[in-house]
Amino acid sequence: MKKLMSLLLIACMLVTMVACSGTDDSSSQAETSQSATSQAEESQAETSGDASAEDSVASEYADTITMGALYEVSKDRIPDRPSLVDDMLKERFNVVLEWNDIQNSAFNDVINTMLASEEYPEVFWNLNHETEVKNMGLDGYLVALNDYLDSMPDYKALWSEEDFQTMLEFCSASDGNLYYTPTQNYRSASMSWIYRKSAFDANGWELPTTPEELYDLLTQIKAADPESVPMPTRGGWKNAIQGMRVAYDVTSLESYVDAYTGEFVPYGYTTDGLREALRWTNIFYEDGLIDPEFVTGDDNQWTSFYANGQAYIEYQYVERTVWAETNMSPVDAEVDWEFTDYNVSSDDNEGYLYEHENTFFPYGYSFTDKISDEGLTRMLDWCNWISTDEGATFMCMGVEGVTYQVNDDGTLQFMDHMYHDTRNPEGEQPWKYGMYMGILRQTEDYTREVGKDTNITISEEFAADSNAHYSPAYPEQYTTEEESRLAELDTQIEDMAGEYILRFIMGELDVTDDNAWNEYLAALDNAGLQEASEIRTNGYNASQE
Amino acid sequence: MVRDRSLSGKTFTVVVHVVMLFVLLVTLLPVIHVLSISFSSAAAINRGEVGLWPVELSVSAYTAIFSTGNVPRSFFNSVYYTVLGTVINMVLTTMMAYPLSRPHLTFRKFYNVLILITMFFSGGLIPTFLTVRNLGLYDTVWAIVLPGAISTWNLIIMRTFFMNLPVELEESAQLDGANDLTIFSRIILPLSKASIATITLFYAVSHWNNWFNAMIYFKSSKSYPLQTILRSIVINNEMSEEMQVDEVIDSVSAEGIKYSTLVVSMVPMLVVYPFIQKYFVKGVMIGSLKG
Repeated sequence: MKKLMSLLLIACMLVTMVACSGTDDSSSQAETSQSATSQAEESQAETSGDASAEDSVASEYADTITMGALYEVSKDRIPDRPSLVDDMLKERFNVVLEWNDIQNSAFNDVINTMLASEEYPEVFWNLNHETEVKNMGLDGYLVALNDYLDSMPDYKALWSEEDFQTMLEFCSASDGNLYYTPTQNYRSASMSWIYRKSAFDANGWELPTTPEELYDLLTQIKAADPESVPMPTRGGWKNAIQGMRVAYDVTSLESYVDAYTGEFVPYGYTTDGLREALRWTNIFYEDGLIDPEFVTGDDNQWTSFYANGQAYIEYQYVERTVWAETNMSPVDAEVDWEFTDYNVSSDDNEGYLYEHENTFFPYGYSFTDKISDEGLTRMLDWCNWISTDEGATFMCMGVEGVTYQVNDDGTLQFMDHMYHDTRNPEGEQPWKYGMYMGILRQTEDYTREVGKDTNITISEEFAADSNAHYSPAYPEQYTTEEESRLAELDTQIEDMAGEYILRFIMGELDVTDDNAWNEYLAALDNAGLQEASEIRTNGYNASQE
Repeated sequence: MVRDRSLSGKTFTVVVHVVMLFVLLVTLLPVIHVLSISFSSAAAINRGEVGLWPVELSVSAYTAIFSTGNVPRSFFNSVYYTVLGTVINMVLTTMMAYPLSRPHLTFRKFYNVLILITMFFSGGLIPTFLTVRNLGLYDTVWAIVLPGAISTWNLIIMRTFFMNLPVELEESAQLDGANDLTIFSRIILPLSKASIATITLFYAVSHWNNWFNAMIYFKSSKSYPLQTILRSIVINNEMSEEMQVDEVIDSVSAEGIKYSTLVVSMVPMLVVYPFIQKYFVKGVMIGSLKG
C-alpha cells in the first residue's frame, strides 16, 4: 500500500515534468485559435496574396531576417495576420516579424516582466509611452538612433531643418540620445468651439467672441430649451474650465511661455487669467449652463447630452463635429455641427489664443539592443520608406484594389467594404489589415477618408489669421533627479489645486474674494509650488541657452 | 427539520427572507441591466434610456463582436484552456489528495508541510515567469495550465474529504482482492462526487476568469482567452481624447460592445451551475465538520 501511494505521488510528478518538457510548439492551441477565424483570414490572405502578386516588389535583400516585434494592442484592435504589412515587409525588405502582442492596459506589468527576464523582442512597433521609452533607452535596452538619422533622408524630410532640430531637442532623452522615431504631426491645431449650427441658424443666435457674449448666448439657449445643457463638458474640472482658460490666455495649467508677452509662466494655476476663467465657470455652473454633475461626469453622460439633443456648443476637438452629428441625428434629423475658426477671447482687440501643437507626435519605432546590425538597417529602411509618398500611402490606405481605389480626380478612396463614417460605418477598419498602427506620417487622403481633415482646415485657418496667437513651445530640460522630483511635486500641486478649483466652481469658495484666492495660493505653496517653479524655471532657462 | 412556529421564529424567517430578497436584487439587477444594454440600440444606450428592459431591441452589438473574430476565437480559447486545465487539475489533485489522506503514508507529515508552505509563500511574478520560460512553456498552452495545476487550498479540501471516508471500505475491498488503483477509481472517486464537482467548479471558474497569465505568457493575442479581451475592452472603453477612426459608428455603441461581451463571458458559467448545483451545496460543506 505504502509503495503504491509513493508510486502515485511519483506519477503526479512525472506527469508534470513530462508536460513541462514540451517545446514551444503551440500547434494544438493555434489550431483552436485558427478554427474560428480561418475563413476570414483565408479570404484576406487570398486578396492580399493576389494583390502582392500583381504589385510584387523584388527585395534588394537576399536573405530573410526574422525578428520579434512588440505590438501594442488597444482594445481588441488586432490585425488579421499575416497582414498587408507583413506581406510588404517580406517582399520589400525580406523581414519577417514575429509579433508579440501586448495589451496597452497592462503595458507596465508586461514590459517590466519582459525586461527583467530579458524576454523582449528586437523591435518595438510604435509604442505610445514616451517616458517609458526614454527610460528604457537610458537603462541601455534601446539603440540610440542619432547616428542613423542621416541614413533616413525621407524620414528627415518630413520636417524642415529647423523643425527637425526642434523635434530632436524635444524627443531626446536626458542623455541627449533619441531612442524612438517620432511621428510627423500633420496639423498644428485641433481644437476650437464646435457648435450646433442648425440650431444657431434656426434661432438667429450669434457666435460669441468674448466670455460675456458666450454667457449671453448660453442664457438664451437655456431659455429657449430649458432641458438643455447648453455647454456640456467631458467630465472633470479640467475639461470644465478648458474653454475659459484658453479665453484668458492660459496656455497650460503647468508651465508655458505667454503668447503675448513672451514671459515664462512656471504654473498656470497661479495666474489671474485662471482666476477669471474660474469666475466664469462658477457663473455657468450656478446658472445651470454646464453639466451640473461635471465633477463625476463620464463619457457616457457626456455622450448622452449629444444623443438627447441637449448640447449646443463646446470647446472641443473639431473632428468631434462628425461624432456630434452622428449621435444627435436620431433626435434631430437636420442637425449640423460646425466649428469656429477662432476662439473666444477675454480681450477681443488683442486677438485670441489657440492651442498650438508640435510638429511631431512623441511615439514611433524603437529598436532594442538585441537587434542585429542588418536587422536595424532594414527596419530603418522600412521607417524611411513609410515616410515616402508611396510608403505612407501604403501604411495609411493599403493596397490599390484591395483596400482603396483611385478616383477620377486622382484622390484615393477606401473601397466599399472599408470603414467610412457615411459610406460604410460598419466597414472593415484599416488596422485589421495591419495598416495605420506604425505610421510615421498621415496622408491627405487618409485624413479625409477618416474624417480628420477638419484638423487640417482649422490648422490652416489659425495659421492664416493674424489675430491667432499661441505660446511658443520649448523643450523642457531637466536632469533625471529633477524630473523625478518634479513629477512628485506636480502630483501634489495638481491634487491641491483640483480641490480648491472645485470649491471655486461650485461656489463653496468665492474666487473673487482675495482672501480665498490667497488661501488657495498658500495651499499650493505648501504643496511645493515654490520648489517646483524653481525647477521649471531652471528647465526653461536651460532650454534657452 | 422542525419548523419553528413561534412569533420569534416567524419574525426570524421573515427577516431572513427580506434580507435574502435584498441580496438577490442587488445581485440580479446589475445582470439584468447588463443584459438590457446588450440588447438595446446604440441610440437608446447613448441617450441613457436603458434601465432594466431593452429599449429599441437590437442585436447589433452581438453582431459586431461576433463579426470581428476576436471574441469568438477568444471564447473558444477560454473553453479550451478551461477544459484542459480543469482536467489536469482534477487528475493531479485527486491523485495527490488520496495518498495524503491515508494515515499510513510514509513521510505524510513532511509532504503536508511541504505543500502547506506553498500556500503562504510564492516565487513572485518574475521568478515564476523565468521558470516558465526556462521550462520551455513560454507561449504555449502549458504556461497557462501547468503552473497552477494543483491548488493547495483545493488539495487540502479534497484531502479532508478523503480522510472522512471510512477505512473499512478500503479494507473490505482489499479482502475482495482490489488493488489500490481499483480502490481509488472504483470506490473512492464514486463516493466523492460532491467534492469532485465542487472542486471542479472552483478550478473551472478560476481558469475561466484568468486573464493575467495569458497576457504575460502568450505572444500572440490570437491565443488570448475571452477574459483578457474583455478586460481590454472594458478598461480601454473610454473614448480617447481625440476621436478614433472607429468611434463614429451609428449602429453600435461602445457600451453595447462592452456589455454584450460581458454577457458572452457570463453565459458558460451560468449554464454549468444548475447542473452541479445539487453537488455544490453538499460539496462546499466539506471540511467544515469533523467526525
